[in-house]
Amino acid sequence: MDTSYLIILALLLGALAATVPVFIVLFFVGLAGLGYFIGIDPMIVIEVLYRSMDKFALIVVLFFVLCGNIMTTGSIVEKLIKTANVLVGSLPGGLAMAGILACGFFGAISGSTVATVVAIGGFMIPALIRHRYPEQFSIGVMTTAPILGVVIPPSIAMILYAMVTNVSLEAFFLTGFMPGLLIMAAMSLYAYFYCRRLPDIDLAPKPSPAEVFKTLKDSFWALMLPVIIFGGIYSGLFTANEAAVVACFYAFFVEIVIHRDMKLTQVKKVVVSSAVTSSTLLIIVAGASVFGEYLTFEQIPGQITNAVVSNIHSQWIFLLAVGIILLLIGMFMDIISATIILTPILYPMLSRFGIDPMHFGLLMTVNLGIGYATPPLGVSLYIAGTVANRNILYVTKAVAPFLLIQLGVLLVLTFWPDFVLFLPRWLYGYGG
Amino acid sequence: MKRAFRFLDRLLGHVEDWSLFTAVMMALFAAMTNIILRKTTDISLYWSDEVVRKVIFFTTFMGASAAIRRRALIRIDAVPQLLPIFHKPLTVLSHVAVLVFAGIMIWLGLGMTILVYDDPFARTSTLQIPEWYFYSLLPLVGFMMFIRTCMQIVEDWQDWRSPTSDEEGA
Amino acid sequence: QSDPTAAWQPSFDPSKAEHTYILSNISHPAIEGVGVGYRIRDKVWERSNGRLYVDFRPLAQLGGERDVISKLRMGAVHGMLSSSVAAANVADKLGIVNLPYVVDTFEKLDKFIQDEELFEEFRQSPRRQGVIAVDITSYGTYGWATTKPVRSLEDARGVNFRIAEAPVNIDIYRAWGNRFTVMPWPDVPQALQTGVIDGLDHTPTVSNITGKFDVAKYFTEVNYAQGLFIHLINERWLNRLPADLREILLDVIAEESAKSRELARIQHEEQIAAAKAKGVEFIPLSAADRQRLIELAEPVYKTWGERIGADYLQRVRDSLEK
Ligand code: NA
Ligand code: NA
Repeated sequence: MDTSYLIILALLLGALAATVPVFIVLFFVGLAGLGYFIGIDPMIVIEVLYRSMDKFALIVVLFFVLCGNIMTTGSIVEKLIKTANVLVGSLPGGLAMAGILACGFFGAISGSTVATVVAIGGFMIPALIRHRYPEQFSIGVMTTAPILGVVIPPSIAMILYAMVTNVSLEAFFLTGFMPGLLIMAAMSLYAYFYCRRLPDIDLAPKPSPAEVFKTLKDSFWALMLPVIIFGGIYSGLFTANEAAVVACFYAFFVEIVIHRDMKLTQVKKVVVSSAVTSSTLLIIVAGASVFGEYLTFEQIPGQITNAVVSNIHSQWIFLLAVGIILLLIGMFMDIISATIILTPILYPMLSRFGIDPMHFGLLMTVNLGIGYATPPLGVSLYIAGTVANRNILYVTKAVAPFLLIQLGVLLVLTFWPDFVLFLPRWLYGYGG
Repeated sequence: MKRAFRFLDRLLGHVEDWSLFTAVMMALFAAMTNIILRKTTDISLYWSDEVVRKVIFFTTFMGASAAIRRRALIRIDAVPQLLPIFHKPLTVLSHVAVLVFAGIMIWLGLGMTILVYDDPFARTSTLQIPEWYFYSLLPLVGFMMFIRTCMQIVEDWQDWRSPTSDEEGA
Repeated sequence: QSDPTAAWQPSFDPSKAEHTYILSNISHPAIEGVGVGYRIRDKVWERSNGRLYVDFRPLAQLGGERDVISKLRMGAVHGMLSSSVAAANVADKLGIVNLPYVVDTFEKLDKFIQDEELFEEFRQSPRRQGVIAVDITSYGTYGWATTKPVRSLEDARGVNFRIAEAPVNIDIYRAWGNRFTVMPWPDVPQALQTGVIDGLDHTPTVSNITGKFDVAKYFTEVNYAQGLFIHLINERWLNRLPADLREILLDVIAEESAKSRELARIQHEEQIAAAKAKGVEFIPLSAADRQRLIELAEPVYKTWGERIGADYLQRVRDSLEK
């Protein structure tokens, strides 16, 4: 291996560990590689920063972040939780299932996990404890269920994967529904059997049909949001990119005009804070583009591919090995950075192993999504810890059974591509 | 000194907040109008995509300056979380890295802006806006990031010196 | 789902080359006007006895066309087979080939390239940017691939065309009074599938090879321009190359580009036949409609004539109409 590669790698890992902002690390390493090791005019990095953001597809990041913030500021989130509760709340473990279902509802509108933890977990953890669910169980379920935010479309991680690989975003989104449902089903089953043995838990009385109807009516406008997003995309009214724009207008309209739970004066604050949040995500894409420029000029992805291909000969071993590596990376890195850095390296290998790029993209999303709740650096662990006022060790023990469930689902998804690709094939005519 | 700082903070805050708000709303309305017109009339706003793309570029870099103020830039803080003894030295190192980055943005960004300014063909493809307008945002943001980071260094410095806050205060 | 560049790996080990020429293109090497990059690579390697390696990177590996143009000017990329649409962003004069019914047939293209005086002026035009245009390859003749039949200009009014990001094309479509959307190439498949656009300004070769005819099953033979790749080289890099290698490179480019233009003409016919066999309907444009398009484009000839040089435009038109 070339010594310059080792220097670059050491610089990359060292600076990341030293808490330098991720985008600056990527920028420095790319600049060093391009300017020093290849000898290209360093001004090229400015060109790369500019062009990397000159992309229409990135509109979704900004506007899905905004849409999520509008809903949390207003009352859409609250209504989604109420709906979930009235539907499944009276079963054994019902409130926990309602929490999982609410994460699913919210996931169908929001693109990120952190937003889901804050919006649903912040409300549900205290509620579960109040209804005498075991505290560790309550924290565990509400820290891990928000993975649905990135698995169920829209999903920022999936958007970036589609952008890097050029797979059709509309079709790729469809891969997320079935795995999302599987995760919800597996977690709900666990909650059901776990809670059935516990007599102390307050069970909600079975709601009357009138109550169900009233709740559904009350949250009608909130529930229409995913319908509008996906109905619009798959009927050809607008593209997946434009869906984010429509979703924002709709959310503003519902919160300001119908629910009247948002004041016009709040609009500016929501817009600005969303712009800043989306900037912290997109600037990593810009930094990664500088680093990617270096990788491209040196043809490093090709070299890594050749090395991997000459050592691994089976598709299953490849998927398993990459899965484990991704889990380890996910323990330390957030899903956006990891997707943007790793996709260009992993993508060229897929065709050599006969792996479908959409299947792989979904596996990568679920895998890195699990990383949100893994120690030492799961963002969700820390948020949940703050909400419940518990330390990281306690939260880690709490999430363990649920992480095992999600890893089991990941294993199923890995070796059952037809399950993942069923919807894009059926609804979109995807040929993969 | 303190008042000058507070003034500068508020000035930069106003520039960041209002420009971000205006830009995002512009993109939102341009894109929505395009979707509606395309479905209901024969008119297509062929320039709306370009507006959106430029807004994405603008908000990303302008937002990065605002993110410094809010300490929101994404970083991997495993080491200080696990080994609190490294907290202070790494904070210093991280600030220095941002300052160096800001310096590079100013230096290379200005160079590139001048290069693009000299090229009469460097115009956006749809609206024919001279592209050096956009390139000049990069050295400007570099400058703003530099100032923001200096302010944070002073803030951290005062925090560390005051006896009320030490490690467990965080 | 296979890697399209895998079939084009070099049969030699390029790591010992003294010089490397990084050549970029956005499109698929199955198109003759693109595949020429690999043929240039192999012939230059042979003639230079392994001293000069042409590192050809098709399929937008080095970025979109506007990115690569900047990198070309900075010397980070040394050469580029730039689509004629994008090349107009380097120098106005290069945009002459995009004007409707100027260089609209394979014959006129050959005639233009063989006219030493006119073509030399074209080649030198981007020099202010540190770039020279050395040669041209083709990917066919432009028309409209649409999801519903367009048999007349009136039919065309009901279509939302996707056009490339180039000022000259925007001006042409505005003058023609057609609806259009400026859209990056990677967004086209989903936009076509979902009906955001229902027409495509492109050539039969590209429409067929990239699968656009699976959705757009009609092609109106507007034949208003040739789809071209202009071979651009960073002049500073070229001048630093040893004189003997420079001569080999330029000779090979000229020889292989001429061959590839001939291959492109054959490919154009073959791809149309293949598309027809799949059920794509090809619709000729009537002479009256063609005349109408020329008249409507009058303001474009005027404004772009000023930027290209009215005299040069006139000389090219006269010479090619003869
Ligand atoms: Na989601
Ligand atoms: Na983690």
